[in-house]
Amino acid sequence: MKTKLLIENISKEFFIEKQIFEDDVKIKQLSQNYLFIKAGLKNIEITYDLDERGNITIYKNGKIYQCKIVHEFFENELVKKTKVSKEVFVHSPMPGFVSRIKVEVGKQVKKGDGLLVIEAMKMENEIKAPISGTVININIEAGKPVEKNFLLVTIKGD
Amino acid sequence: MFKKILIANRSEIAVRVIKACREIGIKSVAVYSDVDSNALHVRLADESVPLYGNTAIETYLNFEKIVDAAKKTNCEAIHPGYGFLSENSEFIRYVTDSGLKFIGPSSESVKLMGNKIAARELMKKHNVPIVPGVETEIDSKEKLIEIANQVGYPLLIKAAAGGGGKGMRVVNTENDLIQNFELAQNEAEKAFKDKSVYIEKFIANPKHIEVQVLADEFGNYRHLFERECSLQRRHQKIIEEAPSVSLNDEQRNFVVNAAIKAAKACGYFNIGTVEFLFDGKNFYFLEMNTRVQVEHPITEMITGFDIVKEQIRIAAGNKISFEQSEVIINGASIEARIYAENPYENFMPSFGTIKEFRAPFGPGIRFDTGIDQYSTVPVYYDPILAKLIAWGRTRDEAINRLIAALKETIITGVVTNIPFNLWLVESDDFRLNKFNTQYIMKKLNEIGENSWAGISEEEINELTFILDHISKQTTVTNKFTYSGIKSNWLKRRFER
Repeated sequence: MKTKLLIENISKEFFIEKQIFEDDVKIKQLSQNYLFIKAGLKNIEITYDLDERGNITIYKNGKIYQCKIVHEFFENELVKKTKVSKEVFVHSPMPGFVSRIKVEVGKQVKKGDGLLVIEAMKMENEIKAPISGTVININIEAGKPVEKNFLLVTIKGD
Repeated sequence: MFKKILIANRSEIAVRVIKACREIGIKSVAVYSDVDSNALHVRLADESVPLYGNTAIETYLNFEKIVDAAKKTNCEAIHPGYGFLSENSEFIRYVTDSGLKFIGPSSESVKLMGNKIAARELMKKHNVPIVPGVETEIDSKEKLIEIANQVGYPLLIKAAAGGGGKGMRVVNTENDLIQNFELAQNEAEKAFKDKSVYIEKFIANPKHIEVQVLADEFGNYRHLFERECSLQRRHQKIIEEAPSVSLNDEQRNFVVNAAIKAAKACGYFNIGTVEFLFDGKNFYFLEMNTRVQVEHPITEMITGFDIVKEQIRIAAGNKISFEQSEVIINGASIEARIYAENPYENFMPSFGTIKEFRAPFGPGIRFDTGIDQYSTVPVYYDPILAKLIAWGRTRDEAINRLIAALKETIITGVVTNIPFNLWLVESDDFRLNKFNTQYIMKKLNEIGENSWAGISEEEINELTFILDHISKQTTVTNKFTYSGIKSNWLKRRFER
């Protein structure tokens, strides 16, 4: 099994071509989310969740690794988008209920100002402005439930 | 003894109470919300009654529905567990007025201790040491600023009816005062239906020491020694241990006696926990929790007494079944709380359906769980899933067993704090008892929110291989990128 692996460090990129496991590798799918891998004499037991958006969560030996599969095409689109627009979309970091909205459309906010409060599992979490700018859109109402990653507020940067 | 009781709670504590009932020979009745209809506590109970609805207010906090369910099933008593209605004096009155027994203290004791302001005054009167602060309720912003200046910064805003860190805020400067005050009031209102808060001095870098006490209706008082619960995040305990290695025998003796004094001061019966802050020399009374505590198992492990069974027996009108002289500390025990929280995304609640599940097992391991492989974790309630408790002849043995068991535990479908627990208990700081209630906050500030999760070359290699295999099984095209958000600098791209 040969895999080309590219690790992008913040400052530099390097290219590794390596064989991960030298010996014969046997992979047993114990259930839909449970793999038992025998790489030579080494045992690796992992469980994982995979969603339709390409998010993979791998659980191994008490550790959790959250990974994502991104098509190269989408990645390029994403880069373009952030370059032309100064608009920043604030998404909900968690599922919950919007208990209060502290801003209105047209309001000037400073980085770190509270935008709204989301309640989840009895805890109140204040969502803060990621940049200074003007609120140009509010996509939710107080009292409504929101899913994770739901678009809450759009801010146009100064 | 009771023949049948209703358990007004969910998740692991409901399961724990069911187990105690089975041992005594009491039939158990579970209650459940719509999303909990197939929950583990419902499946394990002898009978169950739907509460209809999903929010806590509609279900596990609803007096009428719960007492009606108890009457419908001919229960003689109600066990409240922890959280929800466990420290609600009005609920206790409502239960007793309807002719049922409440498995816990009297409405009066809970009211006394439940209002943290009244409790502070009472403790002061009975010579139990308290944190310096102002015991008056705060109803205006002017008064708030005045009191804050009087106590001095940093200070702590606490819900008068509080517990479990809900409605509690640390304030460092006057600038943050009003905002935190409002947030605390709101949280307090939501969690306890009582928005009153008060202010006390923030004791820097203390240890959290608490004492398990028991009392019966015949005036007998016992303690089961102390627990240390200093590893906390946002006032939520994560790792607890018994006994505390921070105390010498003289200090231990002082604090258990102070706890008994506190229990006597409010005419307490049933089980309870008296919490103190400890600055290395002095103890400060924090509060008394008038219910079974999440971390009660570590005390059971080192003393051998079953706290929940004893609690039910006391409520049924029996005397405490043991003498103080029979209580001795045997070995050490440590508990790690397993929450459905994502430690890589600022501990955001995580919810969903459990896909794979394997409980840890082995010598000295106890796993109190509210879930199994057929459970879902709903968004409406506290994120606690289970508790992993390790016992060892020595503290080191308990730590080693806990680490191994955390690694063997499998819970997938929701992201849990297991990796964070492991990081804590594997650290030298934990092994050497170099931590206090501020440890986690300070450490995360120092090294960066997500940097606690290091990643080795070997792990990267294995991950690469695993991701490669999994992606081959899916419909993903040849070119894709893996980015581990776990370590921000790491971005991997594969070509085949």
